[in-house]
Amino acid sequence: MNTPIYRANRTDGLGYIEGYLIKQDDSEKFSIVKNFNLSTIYGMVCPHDIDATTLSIHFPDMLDSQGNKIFASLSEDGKGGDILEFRYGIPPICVKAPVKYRNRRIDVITVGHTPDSCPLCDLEDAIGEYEVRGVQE
Amino acid sequence: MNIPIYRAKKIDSGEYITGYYLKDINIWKNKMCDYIKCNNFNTESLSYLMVEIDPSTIAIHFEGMIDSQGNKIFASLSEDGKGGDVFQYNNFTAYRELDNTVNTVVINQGRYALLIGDNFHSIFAIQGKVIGIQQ
Repeated sequence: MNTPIYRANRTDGLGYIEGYLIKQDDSEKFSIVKNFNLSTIYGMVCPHDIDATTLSIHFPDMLDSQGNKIFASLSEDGKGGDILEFRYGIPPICVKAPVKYRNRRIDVITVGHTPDSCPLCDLEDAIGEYEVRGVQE
Repeated sequence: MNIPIYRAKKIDSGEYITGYYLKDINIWKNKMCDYIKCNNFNTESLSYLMVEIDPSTIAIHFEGMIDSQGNKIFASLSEDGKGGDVFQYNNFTAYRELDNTVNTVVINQGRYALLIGDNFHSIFAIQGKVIGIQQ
């Protein structure tokens, strides 16, 4: 199964958390559940409040050349998504490009270059190796 | 924000439900169960309503993924397209329209696509409609 997980910044200041995304029933708030186990003594979900503007998504087949997970931002501005670094051309130009979900696919945004974006699934064929270098703030 | 929702078949009745997906790792029973959290609050147990589902039928829908009739399109998360919507569209060549073609919508590296044999074809430029769910 190609089931995604999510990452977002916790509102309690303890950094990013990965897990399953749920919507709270009584509001428009979203939370991330890291360890979900109905058999615990509480028998319930323990959601962590998150800053939804930093939400990103990872499908199991989204990995960089080193095998690290790639998270794609779910925001218009790319916030919370990973930044990929790669080189292309002669002499090589180093590019740092954010990854985000848009237009029904995962895109690597390469503003100032031609083309100015590339589907993540085509990136290896286009430029070779690439690595995650950080998170878009 | 472009938050996806999920659809899957209930394990006990075969009914399809939508909501948010979670996997339960039950270390005591050494098994994993897949759930969908519905948009309901269970007032009897004072907890979220979790429904156990058949993981092979999970499909995902992002905002904006709609067919020509305005229906949501759900893409299968399985290699074989199970649980994804069956999509009917007119298959064009450069000169003439061919017959109505039916394919399953799947997701591959975060990209919606039509599953045709062993190949994935983009769904972007294709006008069509959802006519069912791949069993």
